[in-house]
Amino acid sequence: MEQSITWKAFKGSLPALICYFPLGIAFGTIFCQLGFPSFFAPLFSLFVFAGAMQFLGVTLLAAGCPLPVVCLSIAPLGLRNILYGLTFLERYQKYPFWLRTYLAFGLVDATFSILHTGQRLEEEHDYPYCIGMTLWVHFHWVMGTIVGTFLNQWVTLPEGLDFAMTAFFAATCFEHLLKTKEMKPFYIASISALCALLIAPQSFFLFSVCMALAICFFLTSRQKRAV
Amino acid sequence: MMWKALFFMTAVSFAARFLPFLFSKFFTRLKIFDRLSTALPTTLLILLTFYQLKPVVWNEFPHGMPEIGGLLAVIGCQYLFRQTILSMGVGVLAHQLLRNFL
Repeated sequence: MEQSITWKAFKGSLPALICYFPLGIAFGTIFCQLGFPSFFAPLFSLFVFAGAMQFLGVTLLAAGCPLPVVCLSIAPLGLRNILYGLTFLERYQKYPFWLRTYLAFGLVDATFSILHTGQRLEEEHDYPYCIGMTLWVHFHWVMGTIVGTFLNQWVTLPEGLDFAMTAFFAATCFEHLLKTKEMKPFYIASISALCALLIAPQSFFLFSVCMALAICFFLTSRQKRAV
Repeated sequence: MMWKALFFMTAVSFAARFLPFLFSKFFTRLKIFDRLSTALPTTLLILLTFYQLKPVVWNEFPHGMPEIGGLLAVIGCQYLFRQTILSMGVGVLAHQLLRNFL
């Protein structure tokens, strides 16, 4: 049974493989081209495990920015992970502490999208499935980076391949909308994105997430009052 | 220097992800989070999709047409076949074709 769960988790992680593997290659390639020792690239992917954070962090390091500045610059990129964590508190809270620690660490964009959109398995299988999924996604990212460090002199990734990430998010959220037939999240996201674009285009994501959070709070508290 | 950078970046990344779990008792006591967890995750996914489109230059040729075409291909394919990987493949292909031939 465990094996079939592992296989299920692997199959579930294939969309992440498509977008994380090439991105990992890109990270490995860029990391080596910036002049850092190549063995550090997989270590960064293994321990930091954050696409945008890693790209920004190493670019700033290569530009000679002091470490505190690098940390302060990458910290806002981790804010959305706090929200991911909040939505998975209930699902993960019954797991042992050490396991929850890893699952929390592995709650990146892809794991969040797949675990949130996919069908939730029954209680006893959900636990190995979540671990398997997180491990596979982590594996794709690290493997991509390793391949990138080895092939950095020969590989030129075609431009626009990062659209795989957009396609991944679009497909998973559209699938979720099809399943739930609930359009409210779409309206909330559209209003928040539009406001962010008009008011704070420089901090688009941060602003739109705060705005969406405020709208969700407002709507749920109104619902609560109505009940 | 690189070891230090690795350590501190790991710490930042880990702190952001573990924070909600560290205060999970506090958060789970707040009933509002139960209600938020129904709408917020999907909203975040949609915002991520919009965020990916942010670097697109809309007021210059090709006016984001490859991205729009790619997204339409993803949505159409997902609607018809409900296969995420297939939709992604078709979307990326449509995007690449439009990008190179427009």
